[in-house]
Amino acid sequence: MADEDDIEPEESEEEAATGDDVDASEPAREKSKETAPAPMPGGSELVTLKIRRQDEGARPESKRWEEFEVPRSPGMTVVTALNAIRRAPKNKAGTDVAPVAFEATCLEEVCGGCTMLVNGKPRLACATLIDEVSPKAQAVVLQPLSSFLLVRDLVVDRSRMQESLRKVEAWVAIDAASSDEPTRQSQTDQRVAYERSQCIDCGACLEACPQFGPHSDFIGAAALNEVERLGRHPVGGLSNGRRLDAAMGPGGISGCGKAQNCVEVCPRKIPLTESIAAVGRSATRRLLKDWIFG
Amino acid sequence: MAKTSPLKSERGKLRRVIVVGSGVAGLSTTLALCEAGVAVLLISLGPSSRAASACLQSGMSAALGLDGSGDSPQNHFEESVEAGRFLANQPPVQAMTRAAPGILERLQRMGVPFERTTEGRVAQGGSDGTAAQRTAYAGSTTGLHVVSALSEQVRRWEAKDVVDEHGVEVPGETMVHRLEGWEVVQVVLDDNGVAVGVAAQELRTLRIKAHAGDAVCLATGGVGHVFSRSTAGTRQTGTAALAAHRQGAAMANMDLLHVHPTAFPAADKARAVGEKARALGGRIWLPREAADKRAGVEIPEKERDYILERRFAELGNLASGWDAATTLVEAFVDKGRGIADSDGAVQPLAYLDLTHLRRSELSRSLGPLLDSLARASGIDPYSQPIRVGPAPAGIHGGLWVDFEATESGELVEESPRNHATTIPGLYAAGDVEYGYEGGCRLEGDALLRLVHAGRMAAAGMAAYRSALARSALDLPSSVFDSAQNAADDEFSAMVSAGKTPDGDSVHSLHADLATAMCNDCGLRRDPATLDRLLEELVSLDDRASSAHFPDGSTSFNPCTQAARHLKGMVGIARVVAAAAKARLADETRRTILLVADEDGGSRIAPEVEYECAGRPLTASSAIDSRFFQPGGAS
Repeated sequence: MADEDDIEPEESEEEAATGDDVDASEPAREKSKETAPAPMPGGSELVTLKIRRQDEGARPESKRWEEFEVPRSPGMTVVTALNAIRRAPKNKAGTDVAPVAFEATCLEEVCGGCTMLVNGKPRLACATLIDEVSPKAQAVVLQPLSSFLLVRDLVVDRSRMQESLRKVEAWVAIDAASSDEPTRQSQTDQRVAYERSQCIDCGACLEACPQFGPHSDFIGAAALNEVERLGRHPVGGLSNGRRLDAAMGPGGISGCGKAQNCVEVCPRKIPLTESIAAVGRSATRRLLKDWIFG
Repeated sequence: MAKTSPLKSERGKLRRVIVVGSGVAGLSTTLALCEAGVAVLLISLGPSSRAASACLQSGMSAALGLDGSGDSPQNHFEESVEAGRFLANQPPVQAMTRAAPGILERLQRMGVPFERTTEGRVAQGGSDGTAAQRTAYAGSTTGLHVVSALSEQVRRWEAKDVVDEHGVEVPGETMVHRLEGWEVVQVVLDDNGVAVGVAAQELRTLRIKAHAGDAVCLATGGVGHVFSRSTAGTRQTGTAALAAHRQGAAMANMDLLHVHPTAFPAADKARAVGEKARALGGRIWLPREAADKRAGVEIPEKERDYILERRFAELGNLASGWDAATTLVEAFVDKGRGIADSDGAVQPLAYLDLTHLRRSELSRSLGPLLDSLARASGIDPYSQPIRVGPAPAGIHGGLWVDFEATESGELVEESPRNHATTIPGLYAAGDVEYGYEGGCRLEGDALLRLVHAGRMAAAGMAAYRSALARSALDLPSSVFDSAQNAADDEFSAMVSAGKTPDGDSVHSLHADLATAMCNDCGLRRDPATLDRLLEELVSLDDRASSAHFPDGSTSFNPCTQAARHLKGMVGIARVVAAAAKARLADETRRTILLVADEDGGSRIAPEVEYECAGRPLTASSAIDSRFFQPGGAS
């Protein structure tokens, strides 16, 4: 998932901070009534974040680790911690630094923007509780997704996902606006469709996939799931052949190595491996048909 | 005058119009423009999946009349107007409710996985503000699926070549050209003050470029991030709307606060719990004793007050968002009620109780939402009541937009006035504009209104474009050069202010602003507080202009964007506070129109003169209530 040199040794206990550090790390400029972290009675507990930084994708020499400390608060998420760093961008050594760049838009697990590696696993930062990933005051390690082009710090360019969707013609080819006839669909089919419609373009499945990355043209689970979902739709199914042909072409279904990592990390619980298997079956049927009937 | 070609400018350039924003409203506008044969340049901050529309949990209302209760578009129309407290112009709302069945059917064909009846039709359930069963749901994530479906359709047009009037493909040009990762900073106006394009900045490189378009539609969303603890995302700042306002677009009803009645206070924001939870049978209650420290599940039935059921005999828990929120706030503020913490402090929260409902049904209908709430709250919403309360979601008002209706109140669909702002050539669609909602929206209208607004704006733009004597692409390049230079200068000034270490930090100033707005300009308002707030906002505006950010990067630099958004949000806050003050001073039912002042604020105008497709027109503060009035008289 991450580069070899990114794998981290166990954090030592001494990294856990004591209350004495609070005042030093609190900038005088912090004025907000609502958001100023108040020291907790009996010494504030801090959480350490160890963050992989890089100023620009094109400047690999700026790649480095940087540690930050922020006060722990009940229910805080990785986004809460990154916001605290942004308000007072000082690293653990007390040096003023540029705030860590990260993407977070909806803050409620729907937009998919904030996917990053948390302790090595691709996760939505807004859905990741600090207490869960640092139950015993271990440092929380944050890295950008490694399978996409880096923009800066924790921000990556996921536009390749859109290209894959264009490639497999991920749309229902409806007629012009005038023919507004309702479709019919069974309740069972709707439930299956609903489950498979949950994709939020977060990229977690692609990050976890050993076959996806700059080294390969494999489109990955997200796009294959769309082929399966749209093929099941009452109208979408009518032009399934075109999507299947694309999915059977270069970078398509044959690129799947069946590692099954994708389904493990999907934050929306899409049955990705079932979708990929279904596309595989349809592809085989299509091949056989072509072979038998020319 | 020689008739212009619909496809190419005199100089042989492909004529496009510009749509800004790729949420439901922007996608719907783009789609309808393509269907009308108009090529589009679609500019957005990011991919559609990050749009705020994806967070809409509300279903989509359309009176199909299939539930046997005699529901009709007329019924839907009347309930929408009533919920909006008679503050919306009625002809556009009527047109929206009539268009709803067609929109719903179209979305099914596009692939939105609406729930079905056993016969395979779209199933319709309840929603807030109505006793009818007219709302179609795709679980608790309807917004996500509507965004996906429209985005897929737009993707299809991105792959489709432009074809000229002889049926020949125009090489290298597709119907939709999409720019993602660009932020629009200004509308480009020609010497006559007509919108002919936008100046936008590429976030990756910070390069600013002026783009020409025969008309421009802003579909840039709402302003909820101006309030702390709101249900909005981080991009709902109103920055683009404010830029247009300062360039001459009037705003309307910016005082009308949109409150979500049942939001869970999570660490990073208030998370809306959609009205579907109540439509399924979820009940809202308060402990009879505010000081009751027991966990909700331990409080016995007779010590619970089902406050909405008691207050609203007919709709009960499904009272409209406004009614539910104001009832709860009254109980919290005036009667000191709420839920006690373990240390005895009473919080302004109520219980949303789903525990009497079947787990399988809940999981099927609300699964992803309840899972995320369980994570954020540490409480299992299937077996324990969850704490929710009213939270700001944004403002119902926005850029003022026109409509044209016949004497009988039918909308003239081919009129260039529909969705036109007071800047000629500039249109607006969706949460960025004030239409349809009045003073509260039925949540079942939220998505409907975005899709419909896009379609109407597209028709308006297409009509405007065909009446144009000269394409924006034939204007001298000096028009665009000077807009680009102005935007460049503004950006440089912001960057040099950012380097001054003695300013306030961009991010802490946002917290100050959002807290002030939440405390002083929420549901309860008084003139003295608003006066104080307006003064504070003037000083915040100055501080925002010299805000400091510790990041000198000359490429992708989120601090520069945050600084721009901060300035935008303070500007929006000033409009909101000015409008709130005006409404408080004179409670006559009317539209509050606002125009930008030279001093950076906004003033109230009883009417605004403007021009559309060569016709002189007047924007008025009178509400078009031609069909019916409060109390039933028409």
